[in-house]
Amino acid sequence: MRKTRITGLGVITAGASGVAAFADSLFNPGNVFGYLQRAGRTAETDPFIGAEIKQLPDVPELNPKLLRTVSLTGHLALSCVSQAWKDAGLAGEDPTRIGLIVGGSNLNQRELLLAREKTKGNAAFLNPGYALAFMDTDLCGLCTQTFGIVGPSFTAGGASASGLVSVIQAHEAVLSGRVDFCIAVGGMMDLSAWECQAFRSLGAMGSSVFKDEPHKACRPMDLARDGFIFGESCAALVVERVGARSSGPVRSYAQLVGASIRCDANRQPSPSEKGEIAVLRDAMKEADLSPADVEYVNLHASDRDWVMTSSCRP
Amino acid sequence: MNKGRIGRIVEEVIVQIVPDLKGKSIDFESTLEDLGADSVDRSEILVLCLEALSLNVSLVELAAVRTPAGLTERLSHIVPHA
Repeated sequence: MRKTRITGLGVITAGASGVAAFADSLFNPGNVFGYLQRAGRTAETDPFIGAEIKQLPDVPELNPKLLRTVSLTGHLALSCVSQAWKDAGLAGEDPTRIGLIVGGSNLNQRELLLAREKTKGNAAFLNPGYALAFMDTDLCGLCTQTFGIVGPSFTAGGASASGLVSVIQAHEAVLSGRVDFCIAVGGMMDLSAWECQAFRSLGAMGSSVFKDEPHKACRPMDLARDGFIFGESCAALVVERVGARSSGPVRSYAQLVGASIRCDANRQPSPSEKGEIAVLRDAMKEADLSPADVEYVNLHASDRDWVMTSSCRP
Repeated sequence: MNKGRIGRIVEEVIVQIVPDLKGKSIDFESTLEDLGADSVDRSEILVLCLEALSLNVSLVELAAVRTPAGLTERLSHIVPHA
């Protein structure tokens, strides 16, 4: 069977930093939702609702020179990679056999907006570092430099499924034999007010229905749902080749035994039951599993979650 | 503005971009590269110096600069009535 395993985890959200705290927050959620207040992300009219990280984590590996220029997205990615790196015990492994894939595209919109606004009318004084920061691959550079990774590193975009795309690409990179370890990073998309406004106008992001009760706005799978609610978060995991290490027991969180990516020949964000059934069948075939073997299904849970649930019915 | 004042601005900007130099005396004859400024840092140093001095001139004017001393010298020629 074509399989890899997951041996390291890192996560940060508005409600928790670190895997243990994150797990606890899932079962004991406090209220982290309110009005978005980060510079460049505030609304002109009804406030945007979401969850922002109040305090940035310390990243011991981050040197002061990088710290000066690192974006919020970069800082969170480094924190998650640092956690996952230590969790999997990657120090001492051959750096040529480690890869890193960042899931996401246009991750740095808010800070780029701030940089443009700061130098509006004085373009000559735009920070030259903008030329690096506007590319999502800046996260590849930041993380590989900080951790001495010299295997392949690139970004993979798949809209709201980008994190999962990065995991599947990491899985494929390990299965191909190119690397023994591949870190998949679900990068934080640092939305500016412009993206928030467009998502709201599109009906994708929560409207002003809960403007007076922001803590009630985030309600996936609920009849009164009102679109997705933005939350700052990032995660990383280490995908490892089975048998990659010659000695010592390795703790494995999970095995990845099947995956699939397909399109529906459709530009729109509308889901397709036919397409979803096709990828489910692909992945289960690769894993050599039948529906009776499946005990738990975790869905993406977008507004059209009925399509996903109907895709899963026998 | 005299050359000494420009030199202090150059030093402040370099320390801002290369935090490792904070509290150390900077050898103005060292190259910016030897002081720890990579190519992006060097561009940023030039732009920040121009901004600090409100000089809206092309970076080409500073293309040949390699050292803090050279940068100070060049800027002092560009600043009006230096």
